[in-house]
Amino acid sequence: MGDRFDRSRPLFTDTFTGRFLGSLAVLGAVLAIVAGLPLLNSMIPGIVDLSGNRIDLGHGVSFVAPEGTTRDVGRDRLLGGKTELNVNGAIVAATARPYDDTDAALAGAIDGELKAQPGIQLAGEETVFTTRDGVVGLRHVFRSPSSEGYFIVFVHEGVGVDVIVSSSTRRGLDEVTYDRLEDALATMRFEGSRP
Amino acid sequence: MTGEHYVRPTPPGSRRWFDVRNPALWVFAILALPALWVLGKAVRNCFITYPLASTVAAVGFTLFTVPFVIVLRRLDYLEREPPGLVALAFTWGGVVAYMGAVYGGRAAHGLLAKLVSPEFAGTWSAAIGPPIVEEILKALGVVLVVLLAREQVNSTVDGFVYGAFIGLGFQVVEDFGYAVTATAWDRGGDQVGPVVSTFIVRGFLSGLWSHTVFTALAGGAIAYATVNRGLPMRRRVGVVAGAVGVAILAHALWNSPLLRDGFGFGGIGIVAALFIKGLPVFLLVWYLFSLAYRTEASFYRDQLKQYDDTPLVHPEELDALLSYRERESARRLAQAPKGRRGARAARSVRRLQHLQTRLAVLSSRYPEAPEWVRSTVEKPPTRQWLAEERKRLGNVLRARESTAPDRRDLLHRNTVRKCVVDILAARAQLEHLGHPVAAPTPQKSSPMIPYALGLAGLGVLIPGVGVFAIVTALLATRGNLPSNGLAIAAMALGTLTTVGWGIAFFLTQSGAG
Repeated sequence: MGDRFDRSRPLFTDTFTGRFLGSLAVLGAVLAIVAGLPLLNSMIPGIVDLSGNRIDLGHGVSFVAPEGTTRDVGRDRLLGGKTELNVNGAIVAATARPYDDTDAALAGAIDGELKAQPGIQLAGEETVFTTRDGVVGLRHVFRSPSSEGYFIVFVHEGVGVDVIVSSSTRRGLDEVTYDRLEDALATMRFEGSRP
Repeated sequence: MTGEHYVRPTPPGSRRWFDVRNPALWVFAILALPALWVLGKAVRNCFITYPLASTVAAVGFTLFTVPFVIVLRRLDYLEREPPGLVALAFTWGGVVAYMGAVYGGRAAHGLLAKLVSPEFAGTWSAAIGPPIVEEILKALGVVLVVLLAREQVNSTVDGFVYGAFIGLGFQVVEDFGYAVTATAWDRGGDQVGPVVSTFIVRGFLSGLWSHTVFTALAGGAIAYATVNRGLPMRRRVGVVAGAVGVAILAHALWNSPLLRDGFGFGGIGIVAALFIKGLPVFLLVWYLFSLAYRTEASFYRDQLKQYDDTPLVHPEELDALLSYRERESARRLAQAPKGRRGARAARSVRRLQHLQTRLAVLSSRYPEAPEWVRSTVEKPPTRQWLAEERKRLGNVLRARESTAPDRRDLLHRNTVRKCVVDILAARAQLEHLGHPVAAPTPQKSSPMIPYALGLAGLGVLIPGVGVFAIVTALLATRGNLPSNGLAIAAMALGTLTTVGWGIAFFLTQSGAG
């Protein structure tokens, strides 16, 4: 069996220098994945102008994007169907999914999720929001030290939709953006939601 | 897989693996601490938003790890890995690799969406980005273990074990994340239902052929390349690249949309597709592990063989080291006289086997061990003397570790001598119980095992047949017969298919399709 410890063919882990360089290589490889890939992703432009396009949220739900709407295709549909848009600096996150409960329950679930985030507080009571097609939803305003916004939920024909609008600054949404979003969300259409 | 250096014992006088002077430990700390911070914040958020669902998920998936840990520690029978190093491997998987995969996976998705198309990324990114990113990150954990404690990676089996623990850590944390995300996605508030669904799908139906198995494969290959220094570099690198490649491909197949519609047969078809996509890689890894285990066991059996003319080990007992089945067979034979006497004999056999394994490992580490063993057998010291000597030498070594090689040799000799004395004591007890030799039963297996395997295979295709496979396998291992590995496989497959078909039936009945 010869020298069972076989020191004749050293491995790089046998010396401090080898372990040091090997450890640096592991560190470098991990950082290349954790930081390098996101950096590369951010360097490649993926912004698409969607102004005036009808945005499909899936399950037969769609709405017309307002003026100034862009989407980063690299960030889209990360969590099983969430669509994220940028409307003149405001972030609009919209999701449609099969849903069997009421709009109040859906609003309650989003309330809970927002309240769990540090600094976010819900302001006032829920109000009603109606689309042009007459589908009634619920709207609730929230504030945090760094942003302000609201969410609207609809439950119609077995599909639940939630749209969370948040400003990127603490001053909230400007008037023009607010109005454009109001008009755009009123175009929400529910088609073929039941098979 | 036979050859000269497929097992590389820990050299005498090796440092402990936890050494703050080792740069690999610093790299682990640099990566693990921030990752733990970010993960901790995310988990805390889960518990604040969905306290009930998060608690159930945490408890459920913690319990899920228990059978894995038991099986992995049992597979690591011959030369046990240090628990601290195993815990570090688990942490790498659950913290560093998982958090790295979150960032890397998102970026990979974005790159695919930009470079190919958003539609392509929506369909295929799960089968391209995560398998590459996650398998590489987890394999890097095994490399770090080698850098931290190369002396502890003695055989290919060790790599399988460290890889499996890294994969298990990743799997459990990821499953927890999926369970809470499912609750959030359900938008039904803090409910347990989505957690249970996640547990059934990711725990029962796909838990066996997931990250644990993928990373075990990569880990085994890295250990193979580390231990087999005599082989050409090209072959060693090729083995590692091939194994990581197979792990990535198996992961990609699992994540791909292929067969996701279950051949159009709804829930039942989906369950069948899960088996088709997952079972082959599990069987491949099991086969390769068995090869590696046999190589390691043969090496340690050869170490013991030199003592087969002493009361330490009888020639009939040598084969018991080769497999769990043989060891269990010997225990069952000792247990044949029912009652307390049989139970005591079985316990003594278990202890004897454990001590013999330890002696084999010690003999492989210390070239002078055979001499120490023979002198001890000829004139055994008392246990009390050994204990006092061990304590004395231990204190001396702790005080002046680096300048006391002769004392360290004394401690090693003392360790070997204590092992010999313990074996002689266990042997004396067995003789007292009328069972002097802990040999396995000569009847190796039941003729019913092929039938059990056949029924288990049919159980994949036909609902309900799995139950007959379980019953046949149980009958095949009754009495003093050893629980043959094939019988265990038939039982496991039978259970899995029965549970799988049950879930598919439940899903179909409840209208989930």
